[in-house]
Amino acid sequence: MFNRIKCASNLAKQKCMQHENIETGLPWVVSQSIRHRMWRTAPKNKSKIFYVPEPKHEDPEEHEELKARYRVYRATMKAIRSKFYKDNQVFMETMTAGKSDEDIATEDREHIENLEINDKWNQAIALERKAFEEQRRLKEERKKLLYLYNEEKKRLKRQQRAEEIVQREMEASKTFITKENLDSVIEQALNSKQDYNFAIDPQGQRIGQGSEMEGENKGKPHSLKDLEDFDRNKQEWEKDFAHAPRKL
Amino acid sequence: MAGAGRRLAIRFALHGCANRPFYHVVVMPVRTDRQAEPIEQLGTYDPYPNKQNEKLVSFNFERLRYWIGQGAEPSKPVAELLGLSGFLPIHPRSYIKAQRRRKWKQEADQSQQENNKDGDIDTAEN
Repeated sequence: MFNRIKCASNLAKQKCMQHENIETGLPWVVSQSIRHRMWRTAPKNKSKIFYVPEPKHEDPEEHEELKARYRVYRATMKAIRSKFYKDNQVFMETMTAGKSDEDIATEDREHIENLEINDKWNQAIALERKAFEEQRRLKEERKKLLYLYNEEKKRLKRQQRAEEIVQREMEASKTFITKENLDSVIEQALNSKQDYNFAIDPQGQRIGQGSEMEGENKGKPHSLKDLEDFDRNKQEWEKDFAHAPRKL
Repeated sequence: MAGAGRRLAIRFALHGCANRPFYHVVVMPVRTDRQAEPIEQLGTYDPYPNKQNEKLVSFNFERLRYWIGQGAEPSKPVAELLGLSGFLPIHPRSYIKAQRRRKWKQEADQSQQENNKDGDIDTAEN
């Protein structure tokens, strides 16, 4: 399989190198794969090894005539070619020679003037370029500095945040449970009983003391006395919870 | 002679598309590809006859003169066309081709005449 590129003309070839066909959106190049019957290095067929193709029939009269005519043709062509060659030489000479000294002098003067103009122009452009490049350099420098400044700011911010985290963790680590204070903490936990034996009203207010009823009231529901206590202490509780937001 | 460094050819470069040949007459080094970028295009050749049964050819004779002077060798088909155009002497192959065509035409005419004669006899018999 060989890939071959087909192009309509050299112009299309140039175009296809550059861009696609705008109308169709397809590339100008059309790649076409050709399958040859045999690969190029294929050996000669067995049946054709000793095959000698018959020579083409050639009319001897025609051949003779052709030979004679070719002799003349070649001679004529040689003469024509040498003539064209001489013409070329003459043309090249006329391009350079055949000018008076004055012409050459004026040409030289013009050339020198042109060179001067060119130099002036170059100098002017060099100045412009220098200024432009200086400006560009400054701009880039400023950009770089700004970048560095921003990076430094970011770094400081990160550092601060990290320090905060470290501080917080250090604070927290004071209350961590370690192997040394494990027993004491367990003891403390066992000693500090939390009693949730109380009810709450829709406003989240506690009803009752929360302590276990002892004595004769053990195992019985809350008495009226508890409610009385609740009414009595209500105002105090409200004062305590005044700062907390209340949500229903 | 100039141009001895490399052999130059004036030859056809096939352009056009499927089933529609069109040739550029180009000057390029002999060993380069047919479709390679030519040194210069010197003309065109459209081998398909148009409505008026003409095969159109164009040449830049000025540049042809220059390139032949530089040692570029026209290929046989190009040399034939140049011979027919009158720029170069008529190519020997053109003479031979013309002779053959003349001969074939003569033979064809003869056979046609004979056929006509046979046809006449047939009709007479009927």
